[in-house]
Amino acid sequence: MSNDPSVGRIPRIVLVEDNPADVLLLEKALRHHHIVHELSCYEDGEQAIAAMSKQDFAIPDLIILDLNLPKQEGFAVLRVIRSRPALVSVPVAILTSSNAVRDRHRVELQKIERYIHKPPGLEEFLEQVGQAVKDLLGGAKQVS
Amino acid sequence: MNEELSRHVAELGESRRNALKLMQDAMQAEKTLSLRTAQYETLLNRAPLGVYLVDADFRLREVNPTALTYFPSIPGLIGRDLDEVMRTAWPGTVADEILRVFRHTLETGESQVIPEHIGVRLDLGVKEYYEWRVDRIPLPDGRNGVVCYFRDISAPVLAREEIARSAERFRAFVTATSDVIYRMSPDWSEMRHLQGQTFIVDTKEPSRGWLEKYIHPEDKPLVLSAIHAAIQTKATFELEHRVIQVDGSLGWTFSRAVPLLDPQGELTEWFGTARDVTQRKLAEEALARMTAHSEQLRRLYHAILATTLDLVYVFDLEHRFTYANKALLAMWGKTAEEAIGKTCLELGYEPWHAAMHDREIEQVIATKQPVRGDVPFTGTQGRRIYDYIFFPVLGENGEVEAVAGTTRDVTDRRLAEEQIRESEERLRFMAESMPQKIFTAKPSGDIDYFNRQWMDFSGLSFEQISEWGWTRMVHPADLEEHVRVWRQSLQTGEPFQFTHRLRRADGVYRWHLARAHAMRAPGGGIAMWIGSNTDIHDQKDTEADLRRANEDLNQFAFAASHDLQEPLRMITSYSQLLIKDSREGQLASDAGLYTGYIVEGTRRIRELLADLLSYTAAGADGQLAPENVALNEVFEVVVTQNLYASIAESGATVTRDDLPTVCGHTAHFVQLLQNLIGNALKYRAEQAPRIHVTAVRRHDEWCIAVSDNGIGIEPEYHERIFGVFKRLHGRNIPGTGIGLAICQRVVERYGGRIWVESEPGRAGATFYFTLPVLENASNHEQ
Repeated sequence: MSNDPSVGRIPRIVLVEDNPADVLLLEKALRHHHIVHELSCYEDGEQAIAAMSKQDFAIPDLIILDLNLPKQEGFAVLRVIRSRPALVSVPVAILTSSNAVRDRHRVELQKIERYIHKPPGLEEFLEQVGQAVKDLLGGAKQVS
Repeated sequence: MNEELSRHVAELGESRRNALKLMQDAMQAEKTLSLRTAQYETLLNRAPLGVYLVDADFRLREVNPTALTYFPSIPGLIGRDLDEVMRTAWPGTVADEILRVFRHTLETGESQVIPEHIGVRLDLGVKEYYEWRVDRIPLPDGRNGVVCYFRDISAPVLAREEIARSAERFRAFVTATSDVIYRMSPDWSEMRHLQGQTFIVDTKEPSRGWLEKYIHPEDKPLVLSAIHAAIQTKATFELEHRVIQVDGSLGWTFSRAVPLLDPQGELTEWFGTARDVTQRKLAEEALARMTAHSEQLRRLYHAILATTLDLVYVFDLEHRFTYANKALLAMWGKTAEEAIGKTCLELGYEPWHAAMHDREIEQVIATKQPVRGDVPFTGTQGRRIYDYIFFPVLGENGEVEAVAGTTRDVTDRRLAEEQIRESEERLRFMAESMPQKIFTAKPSGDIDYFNRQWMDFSGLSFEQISEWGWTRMVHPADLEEHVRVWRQSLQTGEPFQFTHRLRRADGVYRWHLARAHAMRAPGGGIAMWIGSNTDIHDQKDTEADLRRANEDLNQFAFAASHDLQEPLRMITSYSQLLIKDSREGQLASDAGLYTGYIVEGTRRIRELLADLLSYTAAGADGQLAPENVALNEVFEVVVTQNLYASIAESGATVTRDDLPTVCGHTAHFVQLLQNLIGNALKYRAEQAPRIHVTAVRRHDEWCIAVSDNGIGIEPEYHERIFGVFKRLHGRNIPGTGIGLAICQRVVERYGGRIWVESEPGRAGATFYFTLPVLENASNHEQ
């Protein structure tokens, strides 16, 4: 464990979310679970795709993706993620307010690690979303 | 003188040996005996000849006894006048001729011989033949006299004449007969003569080859056997056999020959006749063939009549059955012996039934015309319905000699016909009572039945719409395709289905769903088409409304579950955060941010609700009647009032060409133009927006275009943007994502379409929408 290069490193999280209010809520949730992290935010699909397409894009420990995004929707971003070998092993969580069956189904087809429905209440949001991120980060560690 | 007499006598004797010899002898005796009177008289008296002598005065001087017998009716013959005697015996002309002969001989001394003198004796009344001669002789008185010798030759002459007549008759018979006549040697080995009478070839010289010549080879043994028998018994030969005719063909003859026997009873010849019986024989053969044929026919008819299921029978003129076939007997349950000779009544028919047939039989006899009918009858098969026909049997004289009949059990057929008729009536009733327009067509497609609904709907008569007349009811825009699809079905037999408009009597076209199916004949070919037209006009409207309403419902559900929840979640979360932080005493720093999110959430909910209301309104029919709306005026309201601030703020230029007047609600068109121009302002590029509205008429619709110089839209989003809450842009561009959905709803409500054109990679987009042209209006051109 001690020679693992990731040990002691701060987990890097990429968040693609157009609503700043939700960005703030996610940060609250991470803090609620005492998850030390480094967060990169992109406001729309286009920004996210542009960033991920760059060669020097730092490989994150987790990508959290909203589906209903301006310019390029979440699935477009997901396609780019799946097309980059460097990102293949990065867990992806969908964080969306959509509970539509269609969206859930599409997500299942994409082998997404986690589908997180944005809970309507604050406590639930902080608890569930934070726990999900914690799990995913822990799992990533175990894998690596 | 004696010498001369002798010489004369001698001369005469040469010609008639018998008589003259005697006379010569007499003369000779007279000469030699010289006046030996006794002898002379003896001779004279005993001679078998009649002799008499007349003197120069033709008075009878001597008559011998023989001559006397020829004149029994003349007493005192001696001394009488010859003329008188002759006239007593003979007719005048004969007597004159006799006297002329006497006179001639007396005068000339020339002897005369009359070899045959025929006459009818007046005194005796019989025809007699005489031969006689006269000679002049000197008489003692010194004068000459005439002596006459005569002999009655009637018997031989008559016999000869009889023979001659007989021969003549025979010749006549032979000549007249058409039969073949032949003569054969006693043992038949030689044919002496045969007269073929154009039937068979003649044989004029004796011939031994007759068997080959005349007899049919197959009949030779028969002929020979018959000949043998006839020779043995010396009896008449009689046989009918075949012969070879003149022309080489075979004929038939009936031949009969009688044996001719000599006095000793030995056969001398066979004399025969053969009759041509070919025609009779052929007739007999023909008759035999006809008889055989009719016998065969009889068997055939019997076989047919015995095996047919039909009842066949014959009545005599007294209405009694003279024939009943097997089937009829079986139906009666009787034998022929029990039934034949009985009338219907006697056979147990009900009296009314028997009486009916009696009348019908009489009618057939009277009119010679058939009678047909059907009648129920209870026989061994139970109560059945029979179709019968009575018809006359005419004799050779053309009179009815019997009445024949055939009867068929038609119970099953009648039942089937009845069922078919009932079924047809049921179907016809169904077709007439259905609200749909029903039709049937021939395989060719010619319509041969329309139910009443067609005529009621179209106001046209059956004649006007039958066959292909219905095409006048079909909307011109639908007709060509309709006929094409219908013809295709007619060819392939595939079911026909088509949606088209049909003109009602008042001129209004209503949507109908036409369907037709081919009914197959047992052989597989198309027997007919059965089809219907259902008025789906109301359904079509309702269906469209329903579909729209359903979509709206979906959209609302989606909005409720997502787009409204989203800001609500914000409000909830940040309100709770405010509470949480205030409890923990951290409120001061972030309170402004949190309340900002809360206010933003409530604003967004309000905006969404307002737009959803607009959207709903765009689809609703409203209670108001549609009116004419001048889009020019709508444009003015949108540009100078509703969007004035935005336009002024962005420095945009918004222009228009002349826009048409359309039918609808002003509020809808305000929303439409406001949303499209508003979008153009919203999605502007760097430079100042330039927005232009134009209208072009295409056929019966207006195509209105709103073009801008904004950021444009990538092709993959050209459809998506019209969905509710579909936004392409983030929060930097305000909007609920309902604007274009509202536009689409408005346009579709009026039967138009909306779409966007934007070239990829280039700035600017043009939104197009269509609206129907006002009827009876071309305001744009004015």
